[in-house]
Order: sequence, then structure tokens, then C-alpha cells
Amino acid sequence: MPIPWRRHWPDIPETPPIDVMPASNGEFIPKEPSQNELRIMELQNSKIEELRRRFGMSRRDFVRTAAAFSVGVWAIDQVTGGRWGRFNFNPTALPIGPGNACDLENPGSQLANLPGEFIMDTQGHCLDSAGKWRVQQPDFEWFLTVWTTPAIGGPPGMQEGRARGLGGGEVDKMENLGRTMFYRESFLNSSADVVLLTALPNLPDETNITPMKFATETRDIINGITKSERCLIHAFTQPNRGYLGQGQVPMHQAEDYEWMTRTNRSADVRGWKLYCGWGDPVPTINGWWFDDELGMSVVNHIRQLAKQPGARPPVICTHKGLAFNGTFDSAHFSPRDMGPIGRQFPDITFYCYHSGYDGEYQRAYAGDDNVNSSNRGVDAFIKSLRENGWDATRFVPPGLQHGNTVNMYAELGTAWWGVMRDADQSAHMLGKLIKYVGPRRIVLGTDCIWYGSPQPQFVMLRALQFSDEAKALYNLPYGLDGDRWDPTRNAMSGASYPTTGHPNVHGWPTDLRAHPERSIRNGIFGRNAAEAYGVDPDATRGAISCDEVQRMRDAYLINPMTPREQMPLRSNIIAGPRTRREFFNFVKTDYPW
Amino acid sequence: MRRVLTALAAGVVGAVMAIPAQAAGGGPPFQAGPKQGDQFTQTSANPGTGEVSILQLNVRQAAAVNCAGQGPMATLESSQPADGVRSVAVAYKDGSWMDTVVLNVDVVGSKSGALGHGAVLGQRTASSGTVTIPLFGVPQPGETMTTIFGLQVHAGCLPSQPVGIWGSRPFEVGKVTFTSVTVG
Repeated sequence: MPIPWRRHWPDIPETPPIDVMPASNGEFIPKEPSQNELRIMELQNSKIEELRRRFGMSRRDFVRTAAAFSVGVWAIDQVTGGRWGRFNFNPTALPIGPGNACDLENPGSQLANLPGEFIMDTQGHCLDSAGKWRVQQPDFEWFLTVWTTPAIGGPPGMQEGRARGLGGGEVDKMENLGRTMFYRESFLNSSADVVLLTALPNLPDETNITPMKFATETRDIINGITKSERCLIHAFTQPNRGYLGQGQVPMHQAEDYEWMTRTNRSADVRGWKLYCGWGDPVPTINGWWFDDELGMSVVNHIRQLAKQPGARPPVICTHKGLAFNGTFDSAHFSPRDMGPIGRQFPDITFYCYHSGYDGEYQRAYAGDDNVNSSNRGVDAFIKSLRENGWDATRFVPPGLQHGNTVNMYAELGTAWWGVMRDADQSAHMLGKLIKYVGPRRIVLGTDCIWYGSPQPQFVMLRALQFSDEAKALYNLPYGLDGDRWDPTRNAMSGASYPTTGHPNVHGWPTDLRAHPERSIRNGIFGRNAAEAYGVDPDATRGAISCDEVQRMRDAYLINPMTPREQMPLRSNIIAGPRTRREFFNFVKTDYPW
Repeated sequence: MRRVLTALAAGVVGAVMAIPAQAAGGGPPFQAGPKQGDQFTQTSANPGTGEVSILQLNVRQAAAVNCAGQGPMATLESSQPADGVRSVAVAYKDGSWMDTVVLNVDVVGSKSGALGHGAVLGQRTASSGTVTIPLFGVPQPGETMTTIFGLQVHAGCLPSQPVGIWGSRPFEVGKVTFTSVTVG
């Protein structure tokens, strides 16, 4: 029986899909919006009003269209595009005046993948809302509530005498971060082809937020429906549970290593996720480094696991950056140990999650003398590689001008989210990572579902263009459209692939056709990660084009592949307090403590 | 803030250690090296005595996710011709530093760039020793090699423990006296 529409159900929001205004997680008074943020929203609002009338649509419908994404890209470019970067789908376009708006027809705003594009989101999250952790580790619920409030919604409460749910529509607030929302936001409301469901602390596994049983079920359900490999998983581990002091083996280390051995055999784990800042809160804070005795111990154990019959090559993914003061031992989230460990274990692939980013303003690399590798930050990550002779500039092949680190990947979860609202910062962050880590060693993770749908992050990356000055600074004459084996050639031009080939790159195409799949941008989007994880992007894309989830997405979209392409259920929600007044109302009515 | 830091530097650091430096083969005197730090930090590096100290008070205000700032770094340098060098040894004494503080050594060639790296991780109390660093490769002919050594730590924020672990220590401190830089 159809559910009757009830007048008191809240209207879905009319917020633009790319919302740059400050939001609080409920812990602090939101900062005053900057002049840039106000200007971006003002431009978006006026353009949305103009265009939705031209389209003959309500505002509520229009903000769920691809054209509304184009408006957001255009507005951010108008305000922040400048000396180092711009947001524009056309790399050769001149700056656009405020009157002639945006490229509404551009497929970059739409869900379908662009030519050569294969999106492998290396940092997806969701949690088991029915897990033991809710009883045994209830503090995590508090942590997740305050962190994810801006994207997912505040705690449930009473509103006008009625119970209300959250951003995702679920009364149980944690279910808003659960499997169903993960499927919806990552596979229906985004262009992602493959998502790596990564892991969170802690052990023993049954008390983890995303325990292995839940993670494997989540992966198997999506892969079972699609009959293709659209979801991979990580497993969490730590070497320091039951810490007893320097020089002593922690009380639970042997038990945890045994669990790792069993899990490695049974769960097809694609990588181990570690948090050097995680440990026991008492009697002492006990984060660890990869180059101390605990780090060496766990790295060697993972290396041994990879020698088991049929095991996958060793992959270590570690959170570096984002301090999370009050939840983790933030000192040990410095990336200072990435250089030493990468150099010591060239047979292991390392992913530096968040690339060390901790919210700092992005500029050109400050220089070795001006960077403290013990800090958190993208520059600290680069310094760590450089002081160990392990940065990309040390591995430039003969005849070429760009290199790649041997085994170190820069992952962009939250880092891209943090800078994508500022074209100059975006160009600097990617430019220096390309120079010092390598065009084939950067992978996009979105940290979604914590931030709702990852689609705004994909659209903004499609649109980033380097200015001439940035191209000169980073020696990238074609910006992100450069070929990632030789960034001085344009992957989008057939002239880059003559029949004579490339004198210094083996396997260079010779068909005189453009090869967008070889661009730096498409490497970051997923092809770099695919190579590292042994995923065949083109075979996967082929499988996806006829898989069941794709059919569901096609049926769900309205007016696909047009500026009117609409995702009718996209939430467009940033539900945390946005102003001082909203903050105090939130505290008064919603704080559960 | 400066006065508070200075008083604490004198009290906390002074109480932990402080023995006059003694000259040894290869120095001191050294040269002053790069320094870093913001208003919550104090750094000192004395090329004449080889004494290096850092201190920070973690009263920076954390955001929900981030804790931004410039943690303290204080270093000294020693330069010598790199021809024929295969390793560098940096000796220190009277070193005490907390678990988050790192004694960091970089060896940089004027042509080769990074030639070697070593670290001694905290926690150390009244510690002495030598960091021996085998070079990554053979230095280029005629280049000069600079060894940069000192103490460094991240930028911490006001400690709090709503969930899990205290985010930062209330303060971070370290002091050490470098006695020599020798090459092998």
C-alpha cells in the first residue's frame, strides 16, 4: 500500500550540491564565513535562480541536476581561481565573465565516467550499526556523531512533538553511516566504479566499528549483485595492544598477529590499515612509529603473511595527518616515518593516507630547511621522503623529467575535500605531490560516507586546471592532462602518440590517437590505485557497464547524460550548525550529554 | 606566552639535565642549522657548545579534525668534503627527551641531495650514544657534505580526552648536547 504523503514531513533541502559554507560538528561555534565563501554561495544562488527558471524547474529539482554541479564549479572558479589554478572543464578556456556562466552541457558534471576515466575510491567507509562496539566501545558513537554531523546530520531528537531522524533519514543515527547509505552514496549517487572499504581501529576485531565479518559481507553483497569486483576491503591491525612499556612485547600482540594470519587466509584482505596514533589510553599514551620496535614488528609480520601460499603482495595503508586531538595520539600521526620505512622495505607497497594533510594552507613546498618532518602536513610527508632520498626526484628515468617513488603512494582522503574549494591550494597540493611522490603514485580517496556523497569531490577534480605559472613551477606543461609516464606530453592529443613511439618509455602508444586513460588526472582518479591493487580498469569498466548496480543507477537517474540529469534522492545535506544561532539551538536541544 | 615558555624552559629543561658540553673530535663549534616553531614553542641551538633544546606548550586550540601549527625544531650543522665518505657518526650526550620528540640527523650533499638519514626516538633519559649513518650511495666527486642534527617534535594541541587517547601531551621537551660529527 502506498505511504500517503504527510504534510509535516520535512521538505528536501534546496541547498546547492557544492556547499562551501562553514559547518560545525556540534563541538564548536562555526567560524564566520569568509568573504570568498559568501561570494561563492551568492554567485551560486543567483545563477541557480536564473537557470532553474530557464530550465522551467523548481529550485528543489534544479539543485539535484548535473547543471547545478556546473554552477558550483563555475562559482568557485570565479571567486578562487587565480594565480595557480582554476576550475573549468575546458583546459584552454579563457576566464569566464560573471554574466556568461558555466558550461552546463559538460559531461564533467554528470554521473557517467568521462573518456579514460576509471574511479577507484581508495577510502570508503561505513560501519556496522548493530555491532558489539556500540556496547563495548560506546565512545566511538560520540566520536562519529560529532565528526560526521556536518555531512550526515545531528543526533535524533524531538521536533514539534514528533521524533525525527537524521540526514540519511534513519532514526538510529549510526545507521546513517551504515551499509545502505554507503551503497546509495557511493554506487548510486556517484561516478565511482570501485570502492575500497577501508578499516578503522580497533582490536579485538569483534569490537571494531567495521568488523571483518561486516566488511566481508558488505563487499560480497555488492560484488554478488554486480557479478564484478566493485568493492575491495582492508583489515585493521595494530602492534601495541596491551602496551607494557619500551622494550617489552605488548600483552596482546601474539594474539593479534595470530588473528591477522587467520584473517589473511580467509578474507581476501587487499591491504592492512594501521593507525600509529591508536593504542591504549592507560597507563600511558602509547602511539608508535614504523621505525620503532613495534612498527618493525608489525611490518615484518605483514611481510611474512604475504609469503603464505596464495597470499596477495604486502600492502600497508596508514593514517598520517589529521590529528583528531582527543581520540588519537596525534604526535604519531606525523608522516616522519614514511621515508625510513619506505626505504627499508622496498618490496612492500605503502599508502600514506591523507598524505599527511592536517588542514594547513597549501602552498608550494617550503624547502627542506623550512620543514620539520615531525609535524603533520603534506610538506612534512614530502620532507620525510626527501631526507631519506626516497622522493620521486630521485627516481627520474633517463631521458625523462619526472619520476615516481618506488613503493610510496600519496592518498587524498579529506585532503582533497579540504582544498577543493580553493583552486590555488588545489593546484599546489597536487603539483607538489606529482613532483615529489610521482604522477603514478597519487590515489584519490574521498573519506565518504563521512562526507556524504563523494560526487562533489569527483566533479571538482575533473575541473581542476593549472595556471601557466603553476605549469611552469611544477614542470607540467599540460597540467593534469599530461601523460603520467611522461607529463611533458599531452595525453589528450593524438600528436603525442606518433608512430615513432617514445624514445624513453617502453610501450608508448603509437596510434596517433588521444589517450585520456594515460592522463595524470585519470591516474589519480583510479588507474594508479588499480595498478597497485591488481585491478584491470578496462575489464572492470566493461563489466560495470552491464552490471546490476549500473542498471539500478540508470533507472534511478532522470534525464541521464544531459544538463538536466537529476539524482532525485540526493540529500544535498550539510546538517550541522551553520551559524552561531544554529549552534546554540543545537546545543540546547540536541546534545545527548 | 614567551615569558611562560622561557620560565618553563629554565625550570623543566634545567631540572631534567644540563651538563656543560665538552669538545670532541669533529666539533664543536658547529654551525647553526635550520630552526622552526611558532609562538607556542621555544628552541635553542648553541653552535659553540653543541647544546640543543626544544620546548612547546600544547595550548593550541584543536579543531574537530585538525591540529595545525609549527612544532619546534632546532638543529646544528657540520660541513666537510664528501670525497671517500661512506658513513657519518654523530655523537651526543646528556640527552633527555620525551617519547614524541625525535633526535633527527640528515646528511645532505651539495650535488647529490640527501645522502643519509638517522633518528633516535624517544623516550630517553640522561642518554648518550652515537647515531651511525651509512650513506645511501657514493657522494659525487668534489661535493660538500652537510650533516644537520637536532631535535624536533610535532605541533600539539590542548590535551583533551573525549574519546580514546589524550590527543597531545601538555608539553613536550627535549635537550641534548652534540659532541662530535665524524666521517668514516
